[in-house]
Amino acid sequence: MPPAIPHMGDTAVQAYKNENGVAVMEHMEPAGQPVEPAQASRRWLVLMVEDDPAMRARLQDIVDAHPSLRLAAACDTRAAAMDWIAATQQAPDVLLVDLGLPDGSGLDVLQRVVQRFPGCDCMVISMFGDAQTVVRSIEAGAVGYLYKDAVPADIAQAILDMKAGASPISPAIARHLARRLQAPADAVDLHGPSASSGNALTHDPTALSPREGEVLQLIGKGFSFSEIARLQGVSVHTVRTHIKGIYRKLAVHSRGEAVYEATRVGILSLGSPDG
Amino acid sequence: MADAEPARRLMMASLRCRRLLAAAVCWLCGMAWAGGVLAARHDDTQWLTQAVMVAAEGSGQETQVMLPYDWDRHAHDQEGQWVRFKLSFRVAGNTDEPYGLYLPRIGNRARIYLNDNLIGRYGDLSQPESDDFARAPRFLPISASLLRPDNRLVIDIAGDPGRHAGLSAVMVGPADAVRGGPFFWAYTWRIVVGSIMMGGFGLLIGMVSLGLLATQRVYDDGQPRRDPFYLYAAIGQLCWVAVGGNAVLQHPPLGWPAWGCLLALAYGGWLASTFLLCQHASGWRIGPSRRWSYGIALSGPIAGAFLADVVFNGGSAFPLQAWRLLVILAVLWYVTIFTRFAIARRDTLCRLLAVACWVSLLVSIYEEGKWLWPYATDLPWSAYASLLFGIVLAYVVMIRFSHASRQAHELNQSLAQRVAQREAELHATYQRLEQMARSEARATERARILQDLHDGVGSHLSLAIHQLQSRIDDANPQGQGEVLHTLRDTQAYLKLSVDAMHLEPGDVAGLLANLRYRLQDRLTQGGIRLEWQVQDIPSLPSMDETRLVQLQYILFEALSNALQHAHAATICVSARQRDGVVAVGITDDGQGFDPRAPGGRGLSLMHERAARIGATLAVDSRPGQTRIEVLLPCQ
Repeated sequence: MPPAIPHMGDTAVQAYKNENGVAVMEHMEPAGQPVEPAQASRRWLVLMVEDDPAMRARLQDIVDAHPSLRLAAACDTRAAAMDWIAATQQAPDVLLVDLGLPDGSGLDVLQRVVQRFPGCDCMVISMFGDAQTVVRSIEAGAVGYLYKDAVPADIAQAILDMKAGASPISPAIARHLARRLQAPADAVDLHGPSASSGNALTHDPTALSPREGEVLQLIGKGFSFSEIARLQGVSVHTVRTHIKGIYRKLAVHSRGEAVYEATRVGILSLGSPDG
Repeated sequence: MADAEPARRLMMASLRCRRLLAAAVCWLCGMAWAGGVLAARHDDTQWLTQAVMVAAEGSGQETQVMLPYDWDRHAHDQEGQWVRFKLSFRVAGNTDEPYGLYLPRIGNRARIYLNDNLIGRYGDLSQPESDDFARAPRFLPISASLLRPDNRLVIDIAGDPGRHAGLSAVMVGPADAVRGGPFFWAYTWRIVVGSIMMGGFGLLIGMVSLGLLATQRVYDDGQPRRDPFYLYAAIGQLCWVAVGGNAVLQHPPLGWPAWGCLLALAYGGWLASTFLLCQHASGWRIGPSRRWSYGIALSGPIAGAFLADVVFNGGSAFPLQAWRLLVILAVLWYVTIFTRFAIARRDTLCRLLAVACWVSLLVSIYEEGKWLWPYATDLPWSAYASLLFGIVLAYVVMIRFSHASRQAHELNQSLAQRVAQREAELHATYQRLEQMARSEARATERARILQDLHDGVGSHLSLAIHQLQSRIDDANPQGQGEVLHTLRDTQAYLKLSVDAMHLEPGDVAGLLANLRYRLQDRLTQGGIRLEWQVQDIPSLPSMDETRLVQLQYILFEALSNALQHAHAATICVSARQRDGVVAVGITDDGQGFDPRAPGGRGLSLMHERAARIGATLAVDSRPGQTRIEVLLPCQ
């Protein structure tokens, strides 16, 4: 079975069909502990924004076929999506958005959804999954991306994995992120040892912790998750958490940058700092 | 604007100067007139104009004459001849206050007797061509004891021809009245101011002119020259000092004819230099041309000196007089045309010179004309006229200085402007160059991308189409598998190309990471295990974007072949540094192939690409182990 989430294949991986007949990827720890399998009990509400009719049809089929997914709406333009978001009473759980919409950028839809429905996880539909597109989407608040040419089972699995807390990453994206966020493993840390844990509030809350910086570096060099977990002496789940944390920091970073710019230009005034 | 400021200031300055000039002239005239007025008679003073002339030698005949008496008007045949005048005057009341005689002109040498007492002597009557006392007004005190109700005054005078000898009307009266009044004024104006002060001023101007001549340069066609304007002015002023100062020289250094010739030369020199000055100011545009002007200027004084010599040596004064008249006429003619030129030209300098020339001319005419009519006072108007030339020179210097300052200022500004302009041009050129460089970079990048598309995706798609076309009739599953494989290769290669665009030059490790990421799924699908033995390799500076793409193609082909044909269980990707090369290897444990077999277009293309990037390709295959290694130089 092909892996659902685009990541490094590792030897401690097992693919099987679960009780619902859905292909599932299980990530085996060296100790053999399974990480949380895809949750089959809850049905996720999926909002879909895609202008290509063929792709839209495929996605709709996938969502309809999967028992854990339910279609909320399928929009083909930015305007239609915005209208639906404004009018809806039900918050969607998943957003699948194509960036290249005929009447604007899907990023606007992404940002609006992130604002209005904080519990909604957003995924960008990308052709190449190139670093620039992905990073831009992450900055806008996405937690994952999808390849247009992936097989249906992969897509479904990707959505479920995303809801389970995993985020995809590629070496190119990792290298790009490392440049963007400037891993403090090399940088001078003014606050000394207080920046040891990933959640510590340092002078810059978007600075990477040393562990996160290491993870990014290793991914950039081409190591798989299990190999990284072995090297760092943690579980694969921890590695994935690191990646999710990095993505969140990127979003904060870009928001912070926007705030900084706005303050500098004079649109905002410095009140109490965020978080 | 900043430029208007100095021009405006210059205009104000020249306006002020002109006003000052006019004021000075008016003041001078006023003072002179006042002096003339004040020289009018006091109550107890009397002018003696009647005299009895007795020729000393000879017949002793007596003639009634009216004073003033001009020596040159009357023939004096013998040298050393002197003439006697007998005057008488009455004194009313008792005379216990001292009296005085005021003699506006008496000379060249004289003796004065009052009631047979010698009360004054000027020079030695027996010495001809010696001292000259005629130039200054004289005052003789008369003690009260010598006075009687009826007094007899005898004056002997001896003169040299052409030397303005003679006797003017005599004023007699109380000493205070005479000395404090007419004599004082006449002396002040003629001697103190007229000769000494004007002489001093003229000397100063002359020296300054010489100084300016020595130091100032005029740039004519780039060659610095001395300005002849200052030369003419200097000569003119110095000549005039000689002429004007003569009044105070009672004992001239040379004997009379020589001294007289020198004076005539000086006078001619003054005329000549003034003429050349006017010509120079007009730009040699009127009257005779430059050479002719020089000729005239030189000949004038020489002729004058010569004639003077003739006259002073005993001839009649007529030649000299005639020469003077001629000169005046010539000057009149020249000054007229010069004035017309100055008016038409609106040139301030020429106009000022014209005014000065007219004043001098009129004064000279008056002084010459004095011979025609008698006049009591004898003010040296010509000295004051000369003052005007000095003022003109001062004006010229001032104007030139302002002009030079303004020019320097303008030059500085234009220089600054030109520098700024050049800077702007340089900046624009630099920007253009930058833009060109950027568009060139863009063009290069586009070319590279196109090349990559052509080599990678393009060739894959053509292969797929070819495969499809040749298998179109076959329901051969293996054929379909081939096409599918090729199309998947295309897809993967396209994504790799996109990833490679963001690779840093020299980042081979990143390249390998990308390859693993994009091909991992297909390996796992095919049930092949991937061994990742990539060590830390350094950045290779020789591997720029183009070369990285070529390397990617080689490695991709190797992996693709292994995937499709090798039927392997494990593929190992390795990279390590050894002996100055970085060795990147793809090893599989499949069935192998014969590297030397013909028809392996892929392999020969790989060799070609390796050669293109300066790397060595090592291919080694046998059943159970196939190894393709690319050796990249570290330099």
